[in-house]
Amino acid sequence: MKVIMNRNLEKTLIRIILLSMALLLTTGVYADEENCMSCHQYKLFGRMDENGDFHNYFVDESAFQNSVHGRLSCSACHSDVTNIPHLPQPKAVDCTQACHLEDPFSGTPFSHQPVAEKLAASVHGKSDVDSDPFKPGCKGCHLNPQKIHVESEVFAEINETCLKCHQPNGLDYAIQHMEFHSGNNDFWTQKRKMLICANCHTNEDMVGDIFKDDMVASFMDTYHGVGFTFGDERLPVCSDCHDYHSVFVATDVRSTVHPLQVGKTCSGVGCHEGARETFALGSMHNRYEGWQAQTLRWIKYGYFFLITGVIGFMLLHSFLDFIRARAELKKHPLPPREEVRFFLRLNKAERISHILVFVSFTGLALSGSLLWIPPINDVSWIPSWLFASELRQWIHRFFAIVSTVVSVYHIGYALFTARGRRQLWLMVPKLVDATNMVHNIGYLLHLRKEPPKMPYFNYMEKMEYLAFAWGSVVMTATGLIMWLEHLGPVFWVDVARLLHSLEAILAVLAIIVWHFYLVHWRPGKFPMSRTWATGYISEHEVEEEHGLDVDEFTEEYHA
Amino acid sequence: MRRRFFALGYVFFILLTVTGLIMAFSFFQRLTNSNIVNTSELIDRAMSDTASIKADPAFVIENIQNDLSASLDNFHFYPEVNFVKKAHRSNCLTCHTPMPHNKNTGTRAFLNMHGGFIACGTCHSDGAKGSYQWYDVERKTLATSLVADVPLMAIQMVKVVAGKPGYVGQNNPKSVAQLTADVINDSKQADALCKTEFRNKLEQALNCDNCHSSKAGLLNWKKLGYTPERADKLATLSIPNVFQKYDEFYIPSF
Repeated sequence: MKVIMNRNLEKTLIRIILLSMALLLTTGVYADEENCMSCHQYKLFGRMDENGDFHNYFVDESAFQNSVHGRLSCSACHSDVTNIPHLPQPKAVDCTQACHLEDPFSGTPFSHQPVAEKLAASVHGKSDVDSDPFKPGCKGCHLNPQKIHVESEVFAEINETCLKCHQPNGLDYAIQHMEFHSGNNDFWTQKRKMLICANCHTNEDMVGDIFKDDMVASFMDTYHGVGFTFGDERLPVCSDCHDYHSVFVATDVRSTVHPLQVGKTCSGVGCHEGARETFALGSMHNRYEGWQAQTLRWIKYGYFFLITGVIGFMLLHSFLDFIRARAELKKHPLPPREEVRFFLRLNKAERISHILVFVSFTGLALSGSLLWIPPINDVSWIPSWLFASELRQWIHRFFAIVSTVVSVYHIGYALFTARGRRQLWLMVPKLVDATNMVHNIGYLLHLRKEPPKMPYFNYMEKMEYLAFAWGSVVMTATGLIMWLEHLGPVFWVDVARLLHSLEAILAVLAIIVWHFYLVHWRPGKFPMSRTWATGYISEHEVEEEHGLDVDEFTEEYHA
Repeated sequence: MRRRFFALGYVFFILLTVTGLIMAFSFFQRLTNSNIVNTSELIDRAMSDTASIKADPAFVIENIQNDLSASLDNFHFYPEVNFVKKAHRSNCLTCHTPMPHNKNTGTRAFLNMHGGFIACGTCHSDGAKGSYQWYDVERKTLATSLVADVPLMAIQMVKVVAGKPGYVGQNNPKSVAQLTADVINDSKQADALCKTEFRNKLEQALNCDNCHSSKAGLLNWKKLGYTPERADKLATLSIPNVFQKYDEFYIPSF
């Protein structure tokens, strides 16, 4: 222990020590003046009462200091604690008491009283029974959240600017405080917001008793709900529509989802901006009644029957055809390609149209199908950005536009070109198609020896074309309704969504079970018919599939 | 050029078929409602990442409806604190919670606090002479000191009598076989079992003075790995006096 050399040095050192102490003490953290932590720093410091409830008196000091209440002393909230041991037992903290942190602008002590009053007026407010477990109170939802510092360019800039004049002491805290209250805090993620409400609103004891239905389950069926299960942070959950403190019954005019208010709620910033008042008059929880529910039910069951019926028939037909065609191929194998004559089937315009169609169809199917996948055990294999970003939406809409443009071109082609008109006439279903179908099915079942002679477009291709035409009309119309959802009541959007999703299933299955069979899977065509690329079909195909209209095939292929 | 063209066809053929199969599969799952998680399950699973407790349902769960609500019940409550891993549970925890003391309103919290690092049988002992040492419950060996930030009850102070550490873990086959559901429900039988089978005299528990005493107490602070300064502080601890001696108590700094 060396003696200090001289007086001046000693003075300087003392000053340095005092100054650093002063600086260190202004970190914005409230020291535990009452030394409560001398006992409360220990884990398992607590008890379990006769009812089996745990009372934990442990306070994690570093966690508390990092929380939003970190600047407060213990007695600021636990104001009735005056002696040690704390007998009589301290009362529960009243969140509405004013603490001595003053609002710097108004000079009034800060208090959670205004928010508590909002809560008390709401449907979650105080009941007559003390500590009603069904009324959440403050601690029903709120923890003491940690200050999660979110990197924000805006605040970093502000910080820099302010620091040009102001000293850093306390400024960091002020900036963090503003960041937190301006929503730049990660604590209330969509997931947590959903869980905090679902905690009670899926509780079996409460559903049916206190609430009419399980609102969470019905919400999950809606587009917003499906988005939530995929982790889409853009989509609203409970408190985004129903507010968090001022929750009222939907029939109460103060409620954010009352028919007079709901338009404003839905057209908020970042949501359906510009939506009309009437847009929101539907049910976000799929709680339609009367004719509306009836309509939706009819559509759903109608399509289920249609899908199983049509696809079932197609599957059966293709299966029988497969067996028969394979047997025929064994008996009469195909001649090599060089010895065969080829005839034009699709001209250049038609081929280009078809390519555009299958590219856009696949794009639509891929981007749309993601929404069909239900929340089975582990949805995490679908990255949430696929669902959650706008990317999927815009891919879908891009291909929808391509598909619509091609459809319009096709209609023009069919009406305004000679070849188009001829083909359109040939595509119209006629009596011969019905007899062909009966005859062919008989042939497939070995009830007839010979297959029928079929026209330029046989019944299978006509079915294909009609299904596609019908599908395009339905998909385009319903797709457009959904794209322009802001214009109308959301019920029609729900109808459109149902139709669109079910028709999608029908269309895609029809393609892969019917069309793909005819051009890919069929023995003789496998692995792929080349007509879509070359435009020509072979002589035996003409005879087998279009024997009735052999004269229509006039252009022959010459190398 | 032609080959590349045909390849395009194959690519879309495969893409569309796969998409269609996925859609068909999804459609029929929705149709039959099979394998679809219901909302409560979905939420339960989502909640599991907010608290580590769900990974190993401890007996505390029966008393706490779900982790989120438990943590919200107390402003300063962190679920990990009350959670004792299976490997660290003593036999006593088959019936008792980690916070078994409740009668004496003044001392109960302090006594429960000690439970985090002192085995039940160390204080609730039959009075036989022994030495007090740290015991690593998982590895079943004596440890040299209480390391900071160990999980709750992972290292316990035990009384070593004739070379045998006074700790009975939960995977003791004899105890598990005996403590059947009937016994647990019958508190008289369970009480008798505790008193006779395990020879822990619940009434003859140690006092604060037995260890926190400046006179020669039961503990050899040096052997337990404490520094002389820390040992001195623990030995002259004023907190026990709060209940025993003082009318007014001024909080010292620790």
